[in-house]
Amino acid sequence: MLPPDGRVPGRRCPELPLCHRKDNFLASGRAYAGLHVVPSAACAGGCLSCGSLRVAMGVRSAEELLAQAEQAEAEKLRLITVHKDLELEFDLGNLLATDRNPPTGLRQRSGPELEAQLQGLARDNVQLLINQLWRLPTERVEEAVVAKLPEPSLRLPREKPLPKPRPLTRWQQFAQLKGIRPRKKTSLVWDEASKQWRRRWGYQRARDDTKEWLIEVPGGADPDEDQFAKRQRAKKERVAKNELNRLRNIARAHKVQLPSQGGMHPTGYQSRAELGKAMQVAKVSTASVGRFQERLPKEKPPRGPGRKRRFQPNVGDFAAEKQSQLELIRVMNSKKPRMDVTRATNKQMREEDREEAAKRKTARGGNRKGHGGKRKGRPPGLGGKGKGGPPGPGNKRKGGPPGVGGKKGQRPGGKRRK
Amino acid sequence: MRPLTEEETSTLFQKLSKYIGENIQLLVDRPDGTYCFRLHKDRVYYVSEKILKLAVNISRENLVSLGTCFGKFTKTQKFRLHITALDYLAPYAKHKVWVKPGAEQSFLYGNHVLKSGLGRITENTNQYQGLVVYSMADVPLGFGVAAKSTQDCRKVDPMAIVVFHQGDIGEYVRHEDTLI
Repeated sequence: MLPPDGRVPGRRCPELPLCHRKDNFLASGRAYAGLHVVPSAACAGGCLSCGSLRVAMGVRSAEELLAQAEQAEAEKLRLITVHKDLELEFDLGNLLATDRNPPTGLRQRSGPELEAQLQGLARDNVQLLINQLWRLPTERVEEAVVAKLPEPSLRLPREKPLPKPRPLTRWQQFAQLKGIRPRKKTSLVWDEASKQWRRRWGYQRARDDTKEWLIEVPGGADPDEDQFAKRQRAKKERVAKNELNRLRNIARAHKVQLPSQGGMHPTGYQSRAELGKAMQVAKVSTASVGRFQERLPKEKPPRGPGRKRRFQPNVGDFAAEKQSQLELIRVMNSKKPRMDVTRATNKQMREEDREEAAKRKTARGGNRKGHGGKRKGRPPGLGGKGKGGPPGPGNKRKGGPPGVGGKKGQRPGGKRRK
Repeated sequence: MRPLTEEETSTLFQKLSKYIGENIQLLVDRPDGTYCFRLHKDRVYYVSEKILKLAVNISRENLVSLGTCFGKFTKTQKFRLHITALDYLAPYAKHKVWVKPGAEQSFLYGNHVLKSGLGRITENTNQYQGLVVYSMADVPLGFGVAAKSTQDCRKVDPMAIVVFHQGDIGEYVRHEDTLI
């Protein structure tokens, strides 16, 4: 049974060299639908195997092949050629193609067909644009072929608004007022020291201040002052001043309120805090920076800037803390008087009372010999402090004897009495 | 939480020395560990270094208390001693007062000690000296200030006040919300 495509698997056509196709049989045996064209006339009838088979299929002639090829070409051409009533206008610099044809091709106003029609229209126009692009001169840039676009002819409108004119800086205003014109300076200056032309400022400039190894101390200056450091400081100040002025100019340009003048302009409607601040600033704005300003009777001295209170660190040096506390305790104890004056006077008074009582006793004892020891007045038991005995002659002093004075001396051992 | 400044430390030590005299250095310089005073929300805490290092990690509003609260500084920077300091005052007290059992209850309710309730008193107590009040069984009950010196105590009538009440352990119940 012959396969439907007329091919016998495994058998080659003996007309092989004259056949157009070399690979005329497939290993898989798949249907090779009708493309086994046999061009040669010699093969047409003479080949036993394919001849007979061909007869079964139908003969494909050379004309048909040509026609087919032509058809394919036309097809391709048709794909890339687009017919338009009115030619498109191209602005290749902007990759722009302007189609002035009236859209008569669009039948529908809405719906899916419109979509398809619009897409077809777009495809055509893009095809024409690409055709134009292919006509441009090309160059090769890193394995890619690139077309050089011409200058765009269409001027697009501005994206952003025109810049506003900047306000003049302070110098510019002054220069305008005075009529000062900028003088053009030469970019190079002759440097005597190195005998060459050097730039005016910047790297390896002509007169470099910083490279000096010797600075003479000026006549009236302090001999111990560091002139190099002084120069550096002066430079820093100049830089800072310049920066400040620059920022002020910018602030003026943007109409931003400068912080130093916040609240200082008297409006008549300032709050108490603002007035206080203005007062503070006014106080300090004197030649002596506020040192000799008088204050009202009950006015407190102004609080200076900076941190108000500073504490030791929480988990700091424990040993140092302990030491300082012990020192504090020691000072505290040393400040207490070793002798308590009230106690001394009390003691003194007691001693005197005891003396008087003893005198009275002897006096009374002389009068009434038989009387017992019962006494009126202050009994000695209450008054006694444990030292007892008649006081020595030196005890009459107000301060009391130094040996007895002091808290420690008066406590013989924690004796408690009711 | 922060350490005390010089003025605050001196105020605190003056107050403590009224009760314990020069034994403060035993509180400051302890053989069994480093203890320090810290101020947190106007209260003075006596805390060991170990606990302090742990407490440092707790934020200010979350930290309630640490160590032992000795007392607090008032708005005018005066120091008020709390009863929670009694554990540290009692062993080092210079002047002591023993109160009779009958008057104990009264003292624990916040009343002053009258002459009738006075059991014993240390010799050589000045007037307005800081005292630690004990019961007759040597249990510390609180502290106070001597209204009269020891001598004068002997002479006054039984209804006179001899010790002004400053703090007692009954405050643990009465003032528990303000005490920490």
